[in-house]
Amino acid sequence: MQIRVKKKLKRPASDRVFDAVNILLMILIGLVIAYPLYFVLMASVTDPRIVNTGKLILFPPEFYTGGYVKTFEYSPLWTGYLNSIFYTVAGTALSIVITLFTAYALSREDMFGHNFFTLLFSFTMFFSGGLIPSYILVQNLHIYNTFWVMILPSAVNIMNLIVCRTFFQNSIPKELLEAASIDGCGDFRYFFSIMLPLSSTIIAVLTLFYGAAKWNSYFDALIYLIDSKKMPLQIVLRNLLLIGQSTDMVDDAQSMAERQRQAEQLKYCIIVVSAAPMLIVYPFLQKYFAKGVMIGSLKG
Amino acid sequence: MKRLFAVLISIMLLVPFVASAVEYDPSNVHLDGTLPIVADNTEMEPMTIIFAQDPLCKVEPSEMKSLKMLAEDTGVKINFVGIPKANFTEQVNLMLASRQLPDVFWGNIDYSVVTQYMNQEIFLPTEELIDKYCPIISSVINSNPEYAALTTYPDGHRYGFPTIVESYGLVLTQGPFLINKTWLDKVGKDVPTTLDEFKDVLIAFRDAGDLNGNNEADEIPYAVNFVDSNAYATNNSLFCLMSCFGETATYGDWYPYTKIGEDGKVKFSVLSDAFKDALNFYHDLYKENLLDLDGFSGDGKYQYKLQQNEAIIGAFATWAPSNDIPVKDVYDQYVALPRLVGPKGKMGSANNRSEVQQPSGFLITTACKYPEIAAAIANYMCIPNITPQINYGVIEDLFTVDENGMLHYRTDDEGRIILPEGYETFAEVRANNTPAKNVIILSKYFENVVDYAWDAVDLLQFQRINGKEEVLAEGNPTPPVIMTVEEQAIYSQLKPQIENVVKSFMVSSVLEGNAEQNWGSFEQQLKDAGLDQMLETIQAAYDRYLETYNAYDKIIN
Repeated sequence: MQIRVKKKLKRPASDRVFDAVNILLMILIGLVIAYPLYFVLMASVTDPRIVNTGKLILFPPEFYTGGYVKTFEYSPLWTGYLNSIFYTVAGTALSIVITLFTAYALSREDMFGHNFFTLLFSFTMFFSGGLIPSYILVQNLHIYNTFWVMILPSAVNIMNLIVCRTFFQNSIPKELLEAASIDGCGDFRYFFSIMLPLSSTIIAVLTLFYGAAKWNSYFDALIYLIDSKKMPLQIVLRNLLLIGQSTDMVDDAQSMAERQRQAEQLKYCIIVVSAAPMLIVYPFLQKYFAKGVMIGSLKG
Repeated sequence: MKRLFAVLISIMLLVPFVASAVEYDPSNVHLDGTLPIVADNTEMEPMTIIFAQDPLCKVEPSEMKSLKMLAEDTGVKINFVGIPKANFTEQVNLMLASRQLPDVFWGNIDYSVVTQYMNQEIFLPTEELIDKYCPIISSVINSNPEYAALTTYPDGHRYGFPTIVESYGLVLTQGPFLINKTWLDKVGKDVPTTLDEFKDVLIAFRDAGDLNGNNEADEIPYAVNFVDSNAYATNNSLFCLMSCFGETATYGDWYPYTKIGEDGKVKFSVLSDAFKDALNFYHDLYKENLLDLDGFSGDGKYQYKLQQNEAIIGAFATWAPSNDIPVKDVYDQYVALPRLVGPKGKMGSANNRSEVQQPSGFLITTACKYPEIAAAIANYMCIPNITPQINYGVIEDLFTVDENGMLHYRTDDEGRIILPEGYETFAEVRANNTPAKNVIILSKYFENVVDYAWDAVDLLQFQRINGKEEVLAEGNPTPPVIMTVEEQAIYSQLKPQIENVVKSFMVSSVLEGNAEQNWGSFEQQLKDAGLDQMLETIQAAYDRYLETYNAYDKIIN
């Protein structure tokens, strides 16, 4: 049999023009977005005096490692790193455990009051007591200035809870429950033996959502932590960037000028060093994000 | 059951309000100025003192050397808590709002916060404590009407103990105005003494070509930053030269652009012909390409131009020359300008500041268990040879003591301080030693107690060549008077608008030279932005200040 080679259909001219303009526009927008990130990377290996007079555009005239050397010697950075990793890992683990259990309970329609509790939890998404009552509560619970304050108050995000509950309701058919209970399976056994193994997707999604939130959290540390040894990475970064912008009229300007110079040296390098983990991890977890967004949505 | 519940809640709410001063044994405690203040502190409950910890500080608060010295000398059991400076404001606001108070707040609380909580029984009034237990502080405050009036709050009380740093008036005038001597020699001109000579010199700089020898046309005759202002309002030297046209003005400090007129009324000094003439003068400079164009964009780039390896700028004003110009060869090229004479006056004006840095550097709260002991501690910190150690660092780190007991900084031949092992900057030494607030340093201490601040020696010298003493004698700045909460609300709303109007008018007039034509609309814009109301507010606070000032003046004289 003869194999006929089909000729590729030419797209009409207007389409091709559109393609060309489109591609050009997208490249431009991409460059505009990518350039600042590229600039930060280049600025971290350039002498700050050159960066600050605006002479750095594409490549540094000479490679300058002083910034990174100073950064690696800056010990609060490393305590901040360790603290952030600890808070993220511990916090995510605790959050996932609590969220899964709660979502399971809320997803079972035969649980007494499950509608009421769902409403109650959703209410807190819109209204909260405010900052000062939270502060007083944290003081009274004696978790002020301890590592618990980074993990407990933010343990459950109601949005994630609802996503998880919807997943349990939609992706795991009720017939499984009926079949299992006929065989004498209790509620706990059902959760551990049947639901959990089927929930790998939602666990991945929760890890991602909670992990990202905990890694970037800084407000709790700002308000509730005092010891600089407990500060997470984001606070260390914020403090450093604020050194050069002290508006304290009382500080003598001598030390301000010195500090500004030090802060300038460290600024770009610290940004690179603190953003690096997230930047490295994200591309690998990208597909889970995309899948995860649709998980809590429509049935079927 | 409900009643019991209600009673319990009301008791819990009342507890923080009960002033919990504790009884102590008088033979154990010395409140007359002798040390130690507490001979045996085993029965004492620890006092909690919260201060703002500098990010450069790497040690625990209890390990900070000045604090250890304080605890040893006074014998008081103190629990020092250091909140990182960047978190300090938020956390302190929460503490004040939720009444979870320590015994003492040490430093970094602005008087505006104190006035806000003045009526809520959070801070303890201290005028009686000062009179009874703080001989040093009370003698300084009550013998100087300005200090007395600036430390009295609108309700008539004093709160906390003040920080007063006299340094021969260092912060009371603008920073050094410098010119490059090496360039002057190269173009064959003398250091200018009048405004016209100054302009000629700048033109010579512009036309001379490659003055710094790096084969790049990067020389800038005169750098001014029109948009931002750094500490002590120096980079914008327009206001320094404005006085050459008949009216002084300051910018960037408390109550910018204001001063006190002959009649005791607060004046807005940029609404004057002198400002117009100054703008026209700068427009001429701009037309002749004598100005730094980066000065209009406001990101302080010329700070970085000063840090380069060659001199790039011909004339400029800055606060801390030795710090801003780290390269020694470049630094040596600059000398201070003498007091330039203009058509209607001479350069320089006094800043709207006072040497009272903070009216409340050491704040006692109503939750303090031992207010008298806290007052005695505040007094201890003002003992003449203790105060430099609380302000900068302990003797073993920074000073040598001579046979008369005078403290000298350990400096090398060029006057730069020799830092102890393990520290890279002076700011670091200070941050690791002490929170550095609540001290009283008087100018007379520089004769026999402690050296003048090593890093301000050249600064003061330059300022004096610029004409500092005359400026101080002629000037009548607006003192940093304390406003009530209502006045502050009005002032903080109006100030940014008015500053913006002045700034944009200034920039557009320098660029386009139309100060005369747009003057009418400038006045109108200021009126619309609420200038009269702002001046009235400042006037009310100033009148209150004047009353207290005159009362103390009568008592003293």
